Amino acid sequence: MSMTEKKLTDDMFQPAAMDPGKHEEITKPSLTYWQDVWRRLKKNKAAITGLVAIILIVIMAFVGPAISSHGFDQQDVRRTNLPPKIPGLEKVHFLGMDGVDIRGNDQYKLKNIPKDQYYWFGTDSLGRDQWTRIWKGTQISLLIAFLAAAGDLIIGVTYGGISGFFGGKVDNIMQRFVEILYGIPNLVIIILFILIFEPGILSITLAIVITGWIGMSRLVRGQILKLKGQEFILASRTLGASNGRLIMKHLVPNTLGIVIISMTFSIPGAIFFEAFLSFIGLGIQPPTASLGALISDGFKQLRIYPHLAIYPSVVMCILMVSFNLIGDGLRDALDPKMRK
Amino acid sequence: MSKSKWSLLLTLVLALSVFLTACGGKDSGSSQSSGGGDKGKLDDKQVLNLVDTEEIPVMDSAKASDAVSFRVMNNVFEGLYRFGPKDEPVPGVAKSHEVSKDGTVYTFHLNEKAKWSNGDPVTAKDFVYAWRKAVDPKTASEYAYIMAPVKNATAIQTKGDALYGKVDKLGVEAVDDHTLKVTLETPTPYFLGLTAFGTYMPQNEKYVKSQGDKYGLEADKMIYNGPFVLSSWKHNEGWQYKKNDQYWDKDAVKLQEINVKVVKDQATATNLYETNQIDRTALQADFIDQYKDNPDFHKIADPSVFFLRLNEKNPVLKNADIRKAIDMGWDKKGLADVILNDGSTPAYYLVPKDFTKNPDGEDFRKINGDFGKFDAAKAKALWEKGLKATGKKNVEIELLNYDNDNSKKVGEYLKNQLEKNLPGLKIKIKAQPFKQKLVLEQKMDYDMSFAGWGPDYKDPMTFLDMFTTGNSHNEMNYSNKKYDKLIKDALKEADVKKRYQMLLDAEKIFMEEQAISPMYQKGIAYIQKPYVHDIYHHAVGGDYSYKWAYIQGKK
Amino acid sequence: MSRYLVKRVIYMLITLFIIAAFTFFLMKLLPGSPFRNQDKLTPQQVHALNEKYGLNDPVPVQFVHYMGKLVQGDLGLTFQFDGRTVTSMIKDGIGPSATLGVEAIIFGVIVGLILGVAAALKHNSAIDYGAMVFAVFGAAIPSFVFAGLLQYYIGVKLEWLPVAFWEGPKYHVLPALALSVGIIAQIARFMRNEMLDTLGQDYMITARAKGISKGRTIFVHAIRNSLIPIITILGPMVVNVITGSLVIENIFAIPGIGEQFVKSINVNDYPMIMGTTLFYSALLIFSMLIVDILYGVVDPRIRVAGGKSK
Repeated sequence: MSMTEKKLTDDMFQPAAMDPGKHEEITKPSLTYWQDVWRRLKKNKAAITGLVAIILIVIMAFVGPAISSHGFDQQDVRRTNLPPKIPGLEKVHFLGMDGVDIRGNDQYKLKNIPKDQYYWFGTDSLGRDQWTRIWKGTQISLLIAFLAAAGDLIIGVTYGGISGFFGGKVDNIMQRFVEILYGIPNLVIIILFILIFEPGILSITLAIVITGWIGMSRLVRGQILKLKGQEFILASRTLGASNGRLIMKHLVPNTLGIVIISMTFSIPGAIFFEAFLSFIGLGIQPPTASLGALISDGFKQLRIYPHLAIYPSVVMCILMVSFNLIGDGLRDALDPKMRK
Repeated sequence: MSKSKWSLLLTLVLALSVFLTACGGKDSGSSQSSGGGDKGKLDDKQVLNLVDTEEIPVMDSAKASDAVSFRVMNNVFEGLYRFGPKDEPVPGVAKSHEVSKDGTVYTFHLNEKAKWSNGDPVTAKDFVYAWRKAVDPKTASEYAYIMAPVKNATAIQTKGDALYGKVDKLGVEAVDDHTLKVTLETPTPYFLGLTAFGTYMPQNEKYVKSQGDKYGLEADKMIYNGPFVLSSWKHNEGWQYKKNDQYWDKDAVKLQEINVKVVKDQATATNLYETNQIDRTALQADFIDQYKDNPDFHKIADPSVFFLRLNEKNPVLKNADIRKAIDMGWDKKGLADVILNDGSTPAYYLVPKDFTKNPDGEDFRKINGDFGKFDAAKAKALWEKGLKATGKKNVEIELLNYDNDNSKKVGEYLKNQLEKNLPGLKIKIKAQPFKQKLVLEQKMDYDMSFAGWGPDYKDPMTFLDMFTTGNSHNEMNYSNKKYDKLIKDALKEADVKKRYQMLLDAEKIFMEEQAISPMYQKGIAYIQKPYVHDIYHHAVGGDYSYKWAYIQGKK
Repeated sequence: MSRYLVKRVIYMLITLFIIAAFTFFLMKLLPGSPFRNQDKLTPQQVHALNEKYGLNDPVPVQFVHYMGKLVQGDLGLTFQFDGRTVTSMIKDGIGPSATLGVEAIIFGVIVGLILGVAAALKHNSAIDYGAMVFAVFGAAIPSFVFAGLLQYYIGVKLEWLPVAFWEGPKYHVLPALALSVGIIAQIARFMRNEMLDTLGQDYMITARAKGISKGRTIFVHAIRNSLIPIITILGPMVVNVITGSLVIENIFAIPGIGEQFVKSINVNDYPMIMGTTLFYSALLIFSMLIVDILYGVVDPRIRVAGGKSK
C-alpha cells in the first residue's frame, strides 16, 4: 500500500492548541431526554407507520359515522344482513364488496334495494349500517384501550415498583393483598357492581381497575427484584441517590420493555373484557356497541354472514399491530442503552 | 418492523378474510336426500345419536325441576298416563280410569304387565310413595306445587297449617295393588295430562330405600319402568339409553340404543351434525339462516309466550291508553319473522295457539281471536291522549332485559321501534343477569320487562291464574275484580264447558286492559337427519318422546 | 429457608381465610336464590326451601357453620346436581381440565421459548418478524376464535381430528392447540424482549471475551438471566390453565371444571362458589410461593426470602 511508503516526520505531530477551559465541553448538541426519545422514535419507520395508522383510525372513528348516509341505530327489518357493497369496488367481484353474499345471490337485488343505496360494510341482523357501527364501536374500544393502559401504568407499575424495591415486610404485605385480590372471584364483584352502578364508562373503568393491573404489578416487581441487586444500582446508591431517584431514574426505565409488552396484552384483554361486561349489563348502553362486542357477536355467524365478524376484526387487528409497532418503537426509544 | 413488512401483514389479514368468506360458502348446500329404503322396512341398526345442552341435574322424580331431567324421565320412567304422538294423554302404567261425577275423584286401573326393570311389578303403592315423597317438606322439592290439585297437597307444604308435613293425609290411596284412587281439591279437567308429568311418576319404595342417599345418582342406582333404561351415565359427558326389555309395551319401541352427549356450544353441535356424528340438534337464532334452506331444517311451535310486563306502579304505565299505545306501537311480525326467524309467531294474546281446545274441539285462540294489531298511527294518537292525561311531554321508560344474545337484539329492536313511533318516548335498556332480573321483577323495581312463561300443564289456567290480584307472579300490580272472580269461580267449576268459557272471558278482560304487551309465541328450530322418524314433541312436562322413534333409510 | 417456608405456609392459611370470608359475604349479597326453578316459585316457596338449607340464618352464622364443616374437609353439596358433593364435582372435573392445561402449557412454553429465543438471536430477521406477528395476533384474537376456526377447518372440513369430546389422545390435540396460542404469544414476546436485553449486557461480552463458546453463553447465561418475567407470568398462567377454560371446554365438549367458575356464580350455587374459589386460591397462592423461590434459583442475587433489602 502507498501508505507505508509515506515518510513520517516529526513535524507531523504537533500538539493541538487547546483551551483548558473547554476540557469538559461536550460537542454534541445537548438534548433533553425526551427530545432524544422523539429523535429516536422518528427514525423508527415501523413505529411511525403504527402511529400514522392509529391516527387514521382515530380520525375514522370520529369522521366515519358522519360520512355514511345511514344512522348508527337506523334499523330496517327489510334490509337485514346485507353483504358489503362499495361503489367502484363493486365491479371487482373477488373483493367481496359487490353486494353478493357467500351463496352467490345478489342480496341487494333480492331485497329490492335502490341502485344508489350502498352499505359499505353491509348491514347487521337488525338492518343497521355496519360501517357506522364499527367506527362508533372503535371510539369506545379506543377509550377502553386508553383506560386499560392508564390503569396498568399508574397502578400496576407503581404498586409493583414499591413492592419490589422495598422488599421485606412491605413486599410481604403487598403481595398477600395481591393474592387476596386474585382469589376473590371477579364475577361476583362485577355482578354486585351491576346492582350498584348505572351501566357506563365509569362502571367499566372500575371493573378494569379492580384487577386489570395485577399482572403488570407482578411483572414489574419481579424485574425490580432482579435489577436492584445489580451493580449499577449499588453504584448509584453509593453515590447517594435517594430511593425515589433510584426507582424513577434507574429501576423503572429498565423495566420499560416488559411494561410495554404487558400493555400490548392487557389492551386487547380489556377490549374483550368490555364486550363481556356490556353483555352482562355493566358496559355501555345498547344500541351502542364496541368493537369487541361486534366481533364476539359477529363470530357466531361467521359462516353465514362473514362480513359481520371480518370488518371489525380487521380494524381490531390493525389497531393491535399499530399498538405493538409503537410499543416496540417506544421501548427502543426510551431505553438509554440504545442511544447511538 | 419495516414499512413493507407491515403492509404485508395487512395483506395477510385481508387475504385471510377473503379465504374465510370463500370457505364459508361451500357447505351451504350440503344435505342428504330423504331415505331411499322401502317404506315399512326398518334399518337393522336402530341407534339414535343426540346431544343435550346440560348434564342431567336430578333423576329422583320427586325432586326434579328442569327440562333436561324431565326429558330423560319421560323416556325411562312412566306415569299413569303419558303424552302420545298427538300430544294427548295415552295409557301408561294405567290401562284405564274412571272419574266421579263431580270430577274430584279419579280411580285408575293399573296394567298388570307394567314392571320395573328389576322385574318387580309397578303397583299402586309405588305411586302413593312417590307422591307423598314429592309433597313432603323434608324432600324440599322445587316442583312440589305441581301436586296442588291433589287433595291437601298445598296444606301439607304450608308451614303453620294443621296438616303441615302430614303426608299420609295426601289425597292418594292404593285400593289394591292395581287400583289407585286419587281425590282432588277441585275438579281438574287437565288432571289426566298431569299424571304424565315427572313429579307424578312412581318410585319403588323398597328399591329406593335400599339405595339410601345414593338413589338416582348413578345409572345403576335406579330402576326404570319406561320404554328405555339408562345403561350408562358419565357425568358431564353424556348418557346412553337402551331398550327396556321389561317394558309392558316393548313391541312398540323400535330403537335399541340412544346415545346422548352433553354439548353446550351451538357451533359444536352443528359441526357434529355435519360430520354425521349426531342425528338431530336444536338451532339457536344465530344458526338459523345457515340452515333455513336445508331440507333437514324444521320448525315447530312451542306453547311458551313472551310478553312485556307493563308495571302499573309506574304512573305513566298505569294509564291504559299508554299501555295500548305501547302494544300497538311496534311491529311484532318483523320481530318474529326477521329477527327471531325460528318458527316464533307474533303474539297478540296471552294463551298460546295450538295449546288447548275447548270441549267441542275448538282451539282457544280460534275462539278468542287476536287482541290489537300493529298500527303506528293509532298508537301515536293513543300515546298523545295518554300523555295529555298524565300531563307529561317526555317519558323515559326502562326496559328490563335478559342478558343473552337474542334478547339483546330484541331489546334494541323494541327501543328503536317504540322511540320511532311514539314521539317523546325514550327507552333505556337495562340488561341483567337472570337471577337479578327475577328479583327486580319480584320487587316490581322496573317499568317494562321482557318476560316469558311456559306452561306447567295443558290448560289455559296455567297462564291465567297467575295474574289475579296479589298473586306473586302478577309482578306488574295488575288488578281487576271481574278477572279475579272469573278465575276463582273457574277453579271450582265442575262443568268443563262453563269453565272454559270463564277462562276465555278472563283472557278477554286481561287483554282488553292491555295488562301486558304480548310479543311472540316461541318456536323451536332444529335440524334432523332424514332417516330419523317419529320423535314426538310435547307441550308440557318431558318435552320429547323417543318411544315411537325409529331409523329408516340410513346408509 | 425452612423457617421462611413455615412462615409462608402460615401466611397462606391466613390469606386463604381472608379470601374465604370476603367471598362468602360478597356472594351472599348476590340477588336471588340457588334454586333451579326460581322463576316459577313464589316467595313463600323460596322461603321454605331456604329454611331447609339453612339459608335464612344470619350470614355470619352461616359462615361459622361453613368454616366448621370446611375444617373437617366437607365442602357441602352443590345445588345444581342432586346429591353430588362439591368435592366430587371438583375431583371429576379437574382431571380433564388439568390434563388439557398441562399439555397446553408444555407445548406453549416450549414453542414460546424457542420462538422468543430465535427471534432475539435473529433480531430483525424474517424469523423475528414471523414470531412477533404470531404473538401480536395471538394476543389480539380471543381463544374462542381460534378454537372455532380449528374445529371447523381441521375437524369438519379436513376431518383430520375429532370435532369434539374427550375420548382419547387425539381428542386432546385441537383444544390444547387452541389453549396454547395465548401462552405461546406471551412467552415468545417476553422472552424475546428479555433476551435482547440480556444479550446486550456487559457480562455477555465478558463471557465471550473469556473464550466461552457462543452456544454456551446463550444457554448458560443469556436464557437463564432472561427467565424472570417468564417465571412471573407462568405462575398464575399455570393455575389459570389447569383449572380449565370455560370457552375451550364448552367448544370441545370437555367435561372439565372450567365452566363451574362462572356457572356457579350465575346460578348462586353457594357451596360450589366457595369450593371453586378456595381450590383456585390455594393453587394460586402456592404458585406465588413457587415463583418467589424460583426467582432465587434463577438469580441467586434475588432474595425474596431474605427479609430486609440492603
